[in-house]
Amino acid sequence: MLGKVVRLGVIAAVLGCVLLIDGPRPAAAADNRYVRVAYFVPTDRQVLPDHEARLLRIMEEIQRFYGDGMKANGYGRMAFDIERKPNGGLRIYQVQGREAAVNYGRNSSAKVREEVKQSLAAQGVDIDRETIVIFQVLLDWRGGKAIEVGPYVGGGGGGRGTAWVYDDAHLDPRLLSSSEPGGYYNGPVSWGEFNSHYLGGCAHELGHAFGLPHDAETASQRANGELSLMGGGNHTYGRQLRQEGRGAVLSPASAMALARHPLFRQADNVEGPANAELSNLRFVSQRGRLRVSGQVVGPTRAIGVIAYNDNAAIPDDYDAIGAVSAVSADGGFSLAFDGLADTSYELTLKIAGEDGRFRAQRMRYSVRDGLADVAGLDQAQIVADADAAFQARDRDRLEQLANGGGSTLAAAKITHFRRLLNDQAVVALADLPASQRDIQLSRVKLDVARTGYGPALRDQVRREGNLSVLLEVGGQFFPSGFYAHAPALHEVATDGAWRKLKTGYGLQDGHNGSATFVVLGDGRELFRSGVIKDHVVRQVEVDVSGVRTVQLVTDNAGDGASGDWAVWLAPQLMR
Amino acid sequence: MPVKVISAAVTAAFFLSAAMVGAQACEPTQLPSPHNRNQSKIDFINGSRYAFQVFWSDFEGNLSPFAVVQPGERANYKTYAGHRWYVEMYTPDGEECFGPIWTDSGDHCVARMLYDGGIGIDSSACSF
Repeated sequence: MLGKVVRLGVIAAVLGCVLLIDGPRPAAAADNRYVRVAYFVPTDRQVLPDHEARLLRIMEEIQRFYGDGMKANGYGRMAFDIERKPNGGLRIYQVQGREAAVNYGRNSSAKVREEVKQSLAAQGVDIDRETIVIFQVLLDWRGGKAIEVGPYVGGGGGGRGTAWVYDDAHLDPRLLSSSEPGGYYNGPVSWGEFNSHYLGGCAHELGHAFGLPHDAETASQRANGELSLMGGGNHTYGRQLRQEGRGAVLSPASAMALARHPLFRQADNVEGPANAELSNLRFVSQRGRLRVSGQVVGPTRAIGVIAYNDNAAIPDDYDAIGAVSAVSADGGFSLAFDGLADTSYELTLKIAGEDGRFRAQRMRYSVRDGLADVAGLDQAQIVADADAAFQARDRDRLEQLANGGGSTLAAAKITHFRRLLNDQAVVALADLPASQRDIQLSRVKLDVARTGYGPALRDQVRREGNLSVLLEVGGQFFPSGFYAHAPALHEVATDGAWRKLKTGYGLQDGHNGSATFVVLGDGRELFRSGVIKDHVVRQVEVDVSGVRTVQLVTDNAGDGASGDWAVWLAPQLMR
Repeated sequence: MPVKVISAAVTAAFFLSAAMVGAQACEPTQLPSPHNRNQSKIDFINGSRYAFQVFWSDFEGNLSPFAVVQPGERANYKTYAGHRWYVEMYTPDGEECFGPIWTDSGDHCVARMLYDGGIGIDSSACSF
């Protein structure tokens, strides 16, 4: 029941950066320092019984959970406030949907939010500057089964965010302790279990609205039978009240991220990344364990470093394990993970600035025989430095890094960054001599190039957050290719002069969407992939003999375009 | 060794300066755990700002790794009276080892590990 709109947080962060570098803006008025609640009712649905009192109990229960979690993690009982009426009741913004329930599907988050936004704007509330929970009357009951109709997701950060959740007549913290049958979640469950899933889901999606990513329980939490709220803990929320095991907990990583959140410290919203960087990173691996130490440098003081270690072989990031470290007076930090399996991981290191801003850095590494590829991580750090130099258009630094040694792969990436800065020349196919037997398509002038998210780019992808711009799928780097976030179209006139198109395709690392890849020749479908959801490089060869126009198309595979970072890898025409 | 008493009787905290013997990784071989049938429990609470690794010293004195405990977390284990446990904390200044920690009587030992420039313990029913 959790979708990929969690990525909104990253997008919002990027938009924040763009706004910041756009120029100085007038000082904004103080932000509201509470979570607002909207109630969304499609035209053919009714407000559910006792909703005002129930929603107050729900929000107070979630508030209690976060307060307890922050206290358990050593931050004191800090939690967000909720907007109340003068009489102490919950302020609920009633929003009448414009359409019937059938027109709001699982991917209708943007549609629902837009209607809520317009309705609240009429009441003087700009939800783009707020953290808001939208309770939707979009959970249907058919034959004793609860059917999830509408969106159930969350995303945000910096004090702005949205959680889309369901209301139900039986959604009530008073029922968390109930063992009475009647509920439904992937099968018949008690009303208590029903509330664990859906009330826990409200707390989980609100966590995304606060900017929290997924993080699973650590080994010691697992040994205690505890699940992290931002991992699978939304399904065990409150089960201790039924004596069915320990309930959900707020992980150390989530707690540290929330400790400086504007709503948890009653401060104004923040924008853009923290003005600080990681330096002198050192990696040590031993017996299934990885230690990372280093320094935080820069003008922004950091309260800590949060790390997420995600098994890259498992789709999505629910299994990412969080770790935290304080930052000492001289900027030092030290993190440790255990339980490493022999596979590849994506490690995110996130500086938590005292001002509530973050800056993240990601790197991949593999584990063999319980030992992390520390040399690979060192190389990843060199490449991250080169990426930073590329962003800053610092040719001298790139030159320095190129001359500094490093692995063949790191050198290839540094060379690629230098090429991206210096050489973007393309040629027209018609100008190529007949003696040239093949050509990388990314070096060719195209007739059409457009994507579903941002400008069409050659040999790189759009920059998002702190992710690299390098074309990478399954950890493999490709110096040539097209960024083709669905829906995308790349078209070139081949005028019957070429015999074969050979290309790789896949989903860019770091994104968890889905896409379909299609090759058309003169409008005729020559190739169609299945729905691609993993990060495996696939290859295809297509006969384009006699074809006058070749089109490379990506589409969203029918589930919306969020996270659909499709890429064409080293596409090549051959005579 | 500077000693800071948190409360009387069962609770005490020791802080070792970074320059002392504790300011290094745990040696892989330590005092072995004795064979003992007196079952008990031991809890490690991370009251510091850095992660630590819990080790159990086996009957030959080889350290066997248990969980890495993040700041704010608690790890619970079954143990036996006299069994030796060690904590290796990972600080920006390097590793620091603390141990052995054990329960003499078979009472439930709760070891809250601290760090204030040196590793420390605030414990209940633990020997160290």
